[in-house]
Amino acid sequence: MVKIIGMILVFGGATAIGFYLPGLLKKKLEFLVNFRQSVYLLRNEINYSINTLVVSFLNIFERSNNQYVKNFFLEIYEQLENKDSVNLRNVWEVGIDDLSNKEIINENEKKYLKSFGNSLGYLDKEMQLKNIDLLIESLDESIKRLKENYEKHSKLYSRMGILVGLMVVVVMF
Amino acid sequence: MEPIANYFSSSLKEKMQRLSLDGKLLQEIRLRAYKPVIIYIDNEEFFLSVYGEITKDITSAMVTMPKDIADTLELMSEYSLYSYEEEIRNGYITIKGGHRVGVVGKAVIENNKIKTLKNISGLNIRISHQMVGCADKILMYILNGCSIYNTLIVSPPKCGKTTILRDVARQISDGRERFKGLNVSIVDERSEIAACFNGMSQNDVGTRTDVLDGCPKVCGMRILLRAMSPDVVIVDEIGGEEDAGAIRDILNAGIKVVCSLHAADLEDIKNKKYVADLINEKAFEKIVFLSNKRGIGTLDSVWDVKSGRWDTRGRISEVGGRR
Repeated sequence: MVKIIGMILVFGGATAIGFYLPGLLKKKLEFLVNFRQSVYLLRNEINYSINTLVVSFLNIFERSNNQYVKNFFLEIYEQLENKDSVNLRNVWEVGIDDLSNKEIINENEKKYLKSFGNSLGYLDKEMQLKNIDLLIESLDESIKRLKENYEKHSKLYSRMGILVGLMVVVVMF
Repeated sequence: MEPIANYFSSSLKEKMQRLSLDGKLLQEIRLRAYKPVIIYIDNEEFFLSVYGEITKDITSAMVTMPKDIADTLELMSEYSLYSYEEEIRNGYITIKGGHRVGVVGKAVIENNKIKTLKNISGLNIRISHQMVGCADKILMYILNGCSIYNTLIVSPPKCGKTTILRDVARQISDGRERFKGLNVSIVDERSEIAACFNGMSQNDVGTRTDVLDGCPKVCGMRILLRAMSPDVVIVDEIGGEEDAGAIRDILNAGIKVVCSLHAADLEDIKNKKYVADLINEKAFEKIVFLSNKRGIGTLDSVWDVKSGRWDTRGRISEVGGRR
């Protein structure tokens, strides 16, 4: 009886891992796609509405569908609005570190997102727009790579999970 | 001091928060690089001490560092200097609460025009105060049954023209005893009357008031004429030929105007050709002169253009009002 329960647990565990990994990839992909959309919104907020970053972040929070993106912009907005910190760069960096800790972004993405934050709000509108265009290019590359990775590996991960689970069960039996 | 203190760099904020004004009127805070912080309270000059108190002793005054100015400007612009490009070109920005921040530094010139200001070396924060009821006495002259007279409010600088104009707008819009409120439209080219921040009026300018913020006067008056069908148009600091043309358009449409003008007296107005022309055409029915003889916003005299007489009912009287 104990052996059967063990086999079920091993099989279930291996299958779950097989489905978790593509799920994680999908979650990262959804985040990056939504984040890119938010950056487009930010571009329009700066270019057409000429809104401040504080107002823009609130507008992005209200329009975004992704929970991670919503939380990211809401937290920055609240801190800036409450004047808790005089440094936008710090607030932005903390937000990016939080996303990295939640494994939503990788080291490369963390690096260019932080670099974007360094020149956010600095100098004129032209500079802001160029900075945003550069970020969109980097996000495009990340999304492309992640998409390929997802399409290539998602089925493999889930099948491998089931197969490894079955194999262990057979060996145990 | 709490709300305005939040806009200062951390080292200044801490001291500003400690400041106690005991109900006195804070008027200006001046930050200049490597110079003491100067604060004007009730028309008196003080220094901000390193202990966060006001003092007359310059030796204990806190010195402003360039970083304080940069951080303060960053906070005041909500980390978005790009969104204040046009205002900075004109030398000031308006922040939440309607406070006006004058900015000086090194001007960057392109094609004989100021492109921007860099190396910001000084800020002059002028604290906005709405004086509710300060136009009570002036309204006596402006109201004409259920309408108003076309009025020009005249005074030298710092005599409270804009403050009076704001309260005039509020009272005409809200109405008062035996006077039903009218639809008022304000062209607020320099965001001084309604002090809009992110499009929202920071001052009470009345329930029936529409504000066109940051729009040049001439173009703004014509937009309001077409778009908002106002009963009264209010505009600050007229003077140019085009301003006079736009006012004529408004008057031809049967809409009333209340304007303000920088001038000392009637003689001074005669030197301003386009406004003098308007007066000769009897475009304005009343001209209200303000001074600061008994404090800012003293009602000096009222010229009735139609009869060509001075109306001295309230001559030399304090305007009053509540903060």
